[in-house]
Parts: sequence; C-alpha cells; structure tokens
Amino acid sequence: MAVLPIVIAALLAFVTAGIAFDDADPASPLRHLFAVPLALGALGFGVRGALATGTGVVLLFAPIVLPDIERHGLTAPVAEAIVTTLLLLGLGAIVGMLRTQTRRQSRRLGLLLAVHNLLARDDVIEVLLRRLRALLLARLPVRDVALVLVEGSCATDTGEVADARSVAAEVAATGHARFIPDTGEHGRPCRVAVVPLIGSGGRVGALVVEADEFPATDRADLATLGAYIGLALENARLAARQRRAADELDAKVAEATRHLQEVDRAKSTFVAIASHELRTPLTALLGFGELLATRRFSVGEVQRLAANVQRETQRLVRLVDDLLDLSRLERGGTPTLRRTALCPARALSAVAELFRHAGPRLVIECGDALPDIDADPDAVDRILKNLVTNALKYSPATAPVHVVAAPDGAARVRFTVEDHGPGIATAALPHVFEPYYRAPGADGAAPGSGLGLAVVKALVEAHGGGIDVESEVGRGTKISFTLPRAPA
Amino acid sequence: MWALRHPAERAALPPLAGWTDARVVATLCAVAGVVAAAGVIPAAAAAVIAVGAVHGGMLAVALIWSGLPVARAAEPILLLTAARAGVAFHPLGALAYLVVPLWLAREARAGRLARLELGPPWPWGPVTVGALAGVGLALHLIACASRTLGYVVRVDASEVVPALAYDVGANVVSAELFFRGALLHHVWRRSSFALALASASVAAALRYCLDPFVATTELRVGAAVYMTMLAILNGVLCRWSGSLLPGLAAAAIFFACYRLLSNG
Repeated sequence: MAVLPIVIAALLAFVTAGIAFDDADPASPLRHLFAVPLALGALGFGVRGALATGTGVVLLFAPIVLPDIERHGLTAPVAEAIVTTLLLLGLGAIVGMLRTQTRRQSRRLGLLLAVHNLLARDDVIEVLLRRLRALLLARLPVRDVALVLVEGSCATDTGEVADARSVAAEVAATGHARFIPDTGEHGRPCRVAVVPLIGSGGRVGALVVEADEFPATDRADLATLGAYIGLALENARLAARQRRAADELDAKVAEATRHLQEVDRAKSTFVAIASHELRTPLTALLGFGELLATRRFSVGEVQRLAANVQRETQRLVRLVDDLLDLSRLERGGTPTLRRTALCPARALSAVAELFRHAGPRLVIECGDALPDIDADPDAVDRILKNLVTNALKYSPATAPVHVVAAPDGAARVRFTVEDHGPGIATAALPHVFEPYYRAPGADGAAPGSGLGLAVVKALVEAHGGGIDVESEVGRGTKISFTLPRAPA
Repeated sequence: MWALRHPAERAALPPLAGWTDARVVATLCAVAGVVAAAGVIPAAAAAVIAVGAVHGGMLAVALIWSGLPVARAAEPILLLTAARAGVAFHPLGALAYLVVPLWLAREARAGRLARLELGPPWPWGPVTVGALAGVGLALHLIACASRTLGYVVRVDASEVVPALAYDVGANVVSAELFFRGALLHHVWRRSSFALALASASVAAALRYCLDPFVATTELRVGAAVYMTMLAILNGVLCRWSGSLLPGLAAAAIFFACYRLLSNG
C-alpha cells in the first residue's frame, strides 16, 4: 500500500509528459490515461484518494489547457477535453465514494463478527470487558474506549470507575445517547460519544468513545454497535449466570449425595449394631428360658434367673422404645408426652434406685426446695436413664458419675450428668445428637445403638428445653439439659 | 477518561471571554480599513493605516483568541504600522516587518501561543514537508503564469527583498495565525475538521480576492485558485503536524516564488 502513492504519482507524471510531448495538445487522446491513476487512487484510498489524485490531474492538466485557451480561445476540441477530464474526475470520485462505503461496511461487519466471537468465549464478564475494550481500541479510529455497566463493572485503561453524575453514568441510566463536540480538555478537539448498551431486558450500560473526529455516520454505526454489544453482553452474562447456577446445583447434588451416603453408612452401621443389641438380650432370654424349662432350680435360683430375664426384657423394651421414638421423629412427629408437675428430687431418686448396683460411683446432688418441673415423668426417667447409662458405660469402673439438679434462672431447672470417662473428640461433638452416630472409638469401648442421645435430645426439645454437651478428651464429658418449671 | 468523571454540562469549550475584546479590535480595524480604502485620506497615510488595520487586526484577533491580553495583542498592530510607515521613507524600511515574526517567535517560545499551535517543540520534519509543498505549488504557479500569461522569473533584489519582508512579516503570519490558528481551530472545536477547513479556506481566498491590490481579473482568479489550494494545504499540514510552522513555511516559500514573477 505504501508503494501505491508513488505508482499513482509516477503515472500522473507519465501521462502529463506524454501529453506534453504530443505538442502539449489538450485534446491529445493520452489524456484518457488519467483514468488509470484516478482509478488506482479511488480503489486504493477511497474518496480521499480520488480527491487527491483528481487534484493532481487538475494541477497537471491546467498548465496544458490554460495556455491553449489563452492563445486560441475555448475551441471545441479543448472544451471536449475539459469535459471528458471532468467526467473522469467525477467517475473517480464516485468510485472512491463507493470504495469508502464498501470498506466501511466491511470494517463494520468485521468488527461485529469479532465482537460476537469474543463475547461467545467462556470467560468472566470483567475479562470479557477488558478484551472487548482492547478489540475496539484496535479496530476503531479512536483515542480511548470505556465500557460502563449498570451493575458497576467498568473497563478502562486506568480501571477508573464512572462517577455517579458523569455523562457515562447518565447514558447508562437513561439510555439516551450523548455527543460532546469537544471536552475542552486537550489542545486539539476531543469528541466524546456515549451510546447506551441496550439488551432485551433494558439498559445494560454505556459505551464511551473519545475520538478526534466523529462524523454523523460513525455515530450511527456506534449506536448500532452499542445495541449489539448490549445484547451480546447480556447473553454472556446470562450464560455466566447459568454456569454459576449449574455449578451451585452440582455442588448441592454432591453435598446431598455425600449426606445420603453418610446416612446410608450410618444405617448400615445401625443395622449391624441393632441386630447385635437385639440379639444380646434375646440370646440371654433364650438361654434363661431354656434353663428354666429344662432344669429344676431352687426358689432363690428361679428368682435370680427371673430377675435376669426381667433385666434383659427391659433392655429389649428400651431398645425397641428408642427405635419407635426415632422412627416417629424421622417421620416428623414428636414424642407423645403426658406432662405433669414433677418433683426433680423424685426423678433423681428413681434413677438412684434404678442404678443402685453402681453403688457409691453414682453421686446425686439435688438442691433443697427445687421447684417442680412441667414434664412427663416417663420421659424424664428415660432421659436420665439414657444419660446415666452412657456415663457409667463409658467411664472406668471406679470413676464417679455426678448427677446434679439445680435451678436455671427463674423458669427452668437444669439437670447435669457428668462422668470422668475418655471424653469425646471436639470434631465429634456436633454430631453426638445425630441418630445412628457413634463417636470414633465408642464401638470398642461399649456396645450401643447410636440412638440414645438422639432420643434424649428429641425428648428434651419436645418439653421446650435445651441440651448441650461439653467434653474434653481424657477428662470426661458433661451433658446438661433444662426443663421448664411447672406453673405455680 | 473525561466522560467517566464529568457530567455533559462540564464540556465547556475553551473560554471565549476574549471574544468581546476581539470583536472591539476587529470592528476598529475594519473601520480603519474602510477609511483607508475610501480615499478620504492621503494615499501614503491610507497605506500605513491599511497594513495596520488588515494584517495587524487579523494578528491581534488571533492573539486575543489565543489568550493574550488586549494590550499585548495590539502590539503587532503598532509594529506593522511603524514598519509600513518606514516603507514610506525607504523601500528597505520593509525590513522592519521582520520584527513581527521575531516578536511572535518570542511569544511562542514562552508558550503563550500554544492555543494557536505555535510553540516548541518545533516540528522540523513537517516544516521541511511544508516547504517542499510550498515549492511545488509555487512551481505550478510559475509554470501556469509563464505559459499562459507570459510572466517571467526575474530576480530584482530591490523589489524582491521588501516584498519578501512584507510577506514574511505581515502577509503570511497574519493570514496563517488568523485563518489557520484561530478560525480553523474555532470552527473545528465546534464542528468537524472538514467544515473548519472549508470555512477557513474560503475565508482566506476571499480575503485575497477582496484585496484592492489584487486588481485584475486574472490576478483574482489566480488568487482564488492558489490561495484556496494553499489554505487547504496549510490546514492539512496543521492537522497532520499539530503546528502552524509547516504552513508558515509553505506560505512563505510560495509567496517568495510568487514575488519572483514579473510580467515585464
């Protein structure tokens, strides 16, 4: 392209020299050869090239035509030469204009295609905006470009954010394009065009362009570009949102799957434990039954065996009760309570009686004049039995277990069961009240179904109370719960 | 970026406060020019007043537009008037016109003519291009004038030197600073470069066509054609180089060549 002006200039000089050697006759047929540099100028550089080449033709042809007119007047051949040369100039200008239009359309379509390809990429919106700005700077004859989004993202070379009262923010908010003929900020005129980015859902933002010149046609093109970018940006944003939603859904599905796997594993563990827990008393009952059926025993011996049968039966009943309660809880139900005014001391006495075999290990403390609680005696009994059973089960044979009842404010009574067993790891504490959960190491320490504490929590909460656990590995565990005071 | 920081209402064009002063100066100079052309005063005095009014007036308006105070902008009027008065005594008094470019160079170096795009750094490359373009246009003029009207190139120092001093010191600088420095930029800021170029070029061509010293039809036609081309060339050079200097060089060389033509 850099050679073309030289070629055009050489052709102009060549044609002029040819006419000069042809007796400097303005009517020389060689003048038609001016069409060649004119066509080259028009096709190579558009309307500007045609005008520049045309000016060259006029400048070169004038010293040939004017002296002839001066000497012979405006003769017919000279007039014809002038007319045909002017026609050539006109044709050159038309070709130049068409070429300029074609190039402009081609550039416009190329830009739209490049914008489309860019915004179809799988990138976050900020990265897309930066790339889009770089593309516009490379493709448009402008000083600077910025993209401002209604949501606040802004892509500029300095990373500055549009002021709320700025013309860019105004156009982004109102959707009306603005054209500033000159900002007055530079020595040379600096035009600013701000067009809205319009998506199908309304205003998306604004495209800000600073340029030396802004013909009306360019401004119209810019408005089209703004509308196109708006739609493309909106699509990109929707696609990004869809990707985010899909990612979130994936995460949720993965979490749910993990939870289901845990539940499944816990239930499998439970089935194994429960079958063991059910089998143990059943085996004992079967054994004692066989003994009573096949042998003769003294009355004292029969009573001892009957006591064993009773204990194992109670164990079986407790386990079945736990399973039934848990089943009800899992279906969303609450334990059925028969609430009455219950003396805490009596509840603790019943526990002491039940665990008499623990001897001095079980230390029960009950303050004087404790108010009655509003609770189901059977439920309280089951709560305390579960907690004390656990405390005794998981403590060394000589370690004491403290059961304390004390007022908790004016409206509640707090019961605390504290042991000096191995304790529970901090990581396991949040899960101890979950059904089927057994803390790591508990399986080896003592048998259990993993249901007891879940049932305890459900019974306490059914009363409107609260339960919490404190534990330190190697020091022991303290579980305390509160129950409401009975109305006076 | 301006549009991210300012509301649209802040897009103030360069201050136009100087325009009131410029209008007063332009009116006074126009009145003085009309008086000089009317023939009501002696011819020698009329010539002195005409130079001060036309060239000085154009320079003063351009300088006021560039932000110089009126008193300072009026200094070239006095310098040009004094120079023309010197010519009345001796043709070489025209050398006094050269004080004006020196005065302008001092102002430009101080950065006071930046709005007229006249100041350091000096673009010597574009100045060379401008000079070559001026030579090209002048050669065309010489070729056309000699082939068509029988003009010849003749170097007579006693005529050429004063004429050259007048062109460099008054004619070229006043035309360039007013038409390209002030008028073109004023219209350019408010409209497009094409419109600004057309306005400044037509105005420049008209100024020469209306000049009483361009008396014959052939001179008027020549002035219309060549002044238009020179104006377009200088406007384009100004936009391309960001300086008035290439245009000044082109015009100075064109007029220097023009002064070599003689129909005797």
